[in-house]
Amino acid sequence: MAELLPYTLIEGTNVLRPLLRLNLSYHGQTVEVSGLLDSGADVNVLPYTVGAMLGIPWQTQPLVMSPSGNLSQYETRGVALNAIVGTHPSVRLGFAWTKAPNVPLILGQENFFAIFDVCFFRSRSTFQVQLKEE
Amino acid sequence: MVSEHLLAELHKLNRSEKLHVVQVLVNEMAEEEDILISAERQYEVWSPYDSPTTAQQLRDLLEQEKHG
Repeated sequence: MAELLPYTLIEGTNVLRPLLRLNLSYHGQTVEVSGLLDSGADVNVLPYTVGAMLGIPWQTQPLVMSPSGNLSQYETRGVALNAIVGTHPSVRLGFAWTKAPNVPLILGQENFFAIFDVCFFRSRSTFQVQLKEE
Repeated sequence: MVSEHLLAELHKLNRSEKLHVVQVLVNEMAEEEDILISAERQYEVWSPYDSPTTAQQLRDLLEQEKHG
């Protein structure tokens, strides 16, 4: 049974969001981040600052089509990172790495939700994340 | 600035009349909040809800990595 994780109360508001803590790694460099579990998002989104903290060279990553919405006006690169969620083994996540400012780290359908089963229990302010069974 | 006259008049109201005034003001304020969401303004919607090409490109990136 996967652990029940609490929604996060956004400071100064009554808004609760399903934010998941995870470790992202690139060539031995690791950062701990909070990702927004967004089942409506087609892709994972990596903010520019997080990629920079990991020391990822922007120019050498492949250009990808910029995602829709507010992200569309910013250049975007594709990047694959190692990710560790809780006690689960490391997985490979592909991110649309955007230069857009102030964007949250988003965990979307491609490929977070393709790897992890996520259950939202919003009425109880909890959610579960479980690595898919092979 | 609320006038002393208006406040004096409000103080004269009985409990149910005061509640009615509060309700009218709350409703009015709620309507004003709705108006603040203007059709002519742009709001930030970060969620990439319609990005199938980017999703395919990321799938290809991970696949190439597996076979590279």
